Amino acid sequence: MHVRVGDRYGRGHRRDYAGSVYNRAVSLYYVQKFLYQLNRDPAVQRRFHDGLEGLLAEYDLTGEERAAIRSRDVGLLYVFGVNGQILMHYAALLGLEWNEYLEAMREGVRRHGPVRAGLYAMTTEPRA
Amino acid sequence: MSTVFLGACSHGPGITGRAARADPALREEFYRSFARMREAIEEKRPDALVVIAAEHFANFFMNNMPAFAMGMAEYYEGPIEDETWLAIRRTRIPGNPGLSRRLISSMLHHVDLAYAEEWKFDHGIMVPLNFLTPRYDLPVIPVNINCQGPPLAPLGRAWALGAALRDACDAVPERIAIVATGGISHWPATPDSGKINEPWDREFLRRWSANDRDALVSYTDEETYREAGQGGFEIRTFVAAAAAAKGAPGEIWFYAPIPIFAVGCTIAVMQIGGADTGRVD
Repeated sequence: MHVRVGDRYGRGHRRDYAGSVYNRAVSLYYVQKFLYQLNRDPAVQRRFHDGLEGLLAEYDLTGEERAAIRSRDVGLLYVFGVNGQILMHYAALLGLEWNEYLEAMREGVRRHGPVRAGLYAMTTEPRA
Repeated sequence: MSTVFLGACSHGPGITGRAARADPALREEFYRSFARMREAIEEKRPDALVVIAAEHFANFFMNNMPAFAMGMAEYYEGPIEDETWLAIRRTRIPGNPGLSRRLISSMLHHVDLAYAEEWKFDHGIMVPLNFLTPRYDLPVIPVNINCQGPPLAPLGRAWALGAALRDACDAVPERIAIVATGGISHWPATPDSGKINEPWDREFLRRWSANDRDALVSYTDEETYREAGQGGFEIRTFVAAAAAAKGAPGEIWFYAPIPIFAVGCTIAVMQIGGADTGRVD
């Protein structure tokens, strides 16, 4: 029997939890997954350049996340909480020079505020 | 017993990709230490190089993240990054699946290890190989410790991994060189890139050189994050190397913060002996 994860926990789609910390973390997961697959796979890179909308449709992203990817807004992706080890490779793929990359992250924080989730928003996590 | 070399080195992408922007004298001294490590490895005539790495989402992601993984592939490919950005050409690196399989089978008695017959190298392995096996003619076997996506294996488990690796290497007839590669304190790929906590690094390297197990595994991730940045989680690779030394002390051949390389650049070896025969007795 096919059981949807959401059904199993008596929950609906994750967007029912819009705005919750839970929702942000899950959403960050798919942004990072998209960038991870893009960074490592030349076939995904070709689609990034030649068929972006179809590619994005395969990931569970918010409108803001799609917009950040469409506009190649590295700073906003940083503010979402994308791990720098993923973001750095993406910036290299976009052809950003090193200082441009660092400055894009700083500009992102200036424009959009502090990092919202993930490792860089960490205060007490992780613990040993 | 056939672990013939054991060392540790840095791997930041700036080491090759932003070479021109570093202080030339410091850079050349660092490169010479890498060359010294290459010569020390070549002198031992290894059949394979095991690299204990901390990859950066080239293969492993939060959909199925192994705490520890080891390569069992015929060949590997890298770098995944833009070649110009990293200043390393994309290439194919030979593996040794038979040897991998024997090592993994042996290690599974002591640590739960994922294996992978497909593996793309990022700068975390390509930068060391660029200096240590520049012709890519020595079979490589990658080992990965998840240092990027918490929750991470506790340091005591990284120690157990290193100990299991050493036992496994000593039980095969092939001559094996082991190089761990990671950063100590650093804030890589963030706006704080270039920040380095040198006192923290030097204290860590003191513990490493003394091969003081209890002191090495006593760091908590909370403390490491606060004092050494998220990059500091990569000390797991150094901890595994210390365990693989079986109590032998370490020697730091090079340490210097090079901010444009985003890390306290380190070249270090464990004095496991065997200089004449190349074998550890």
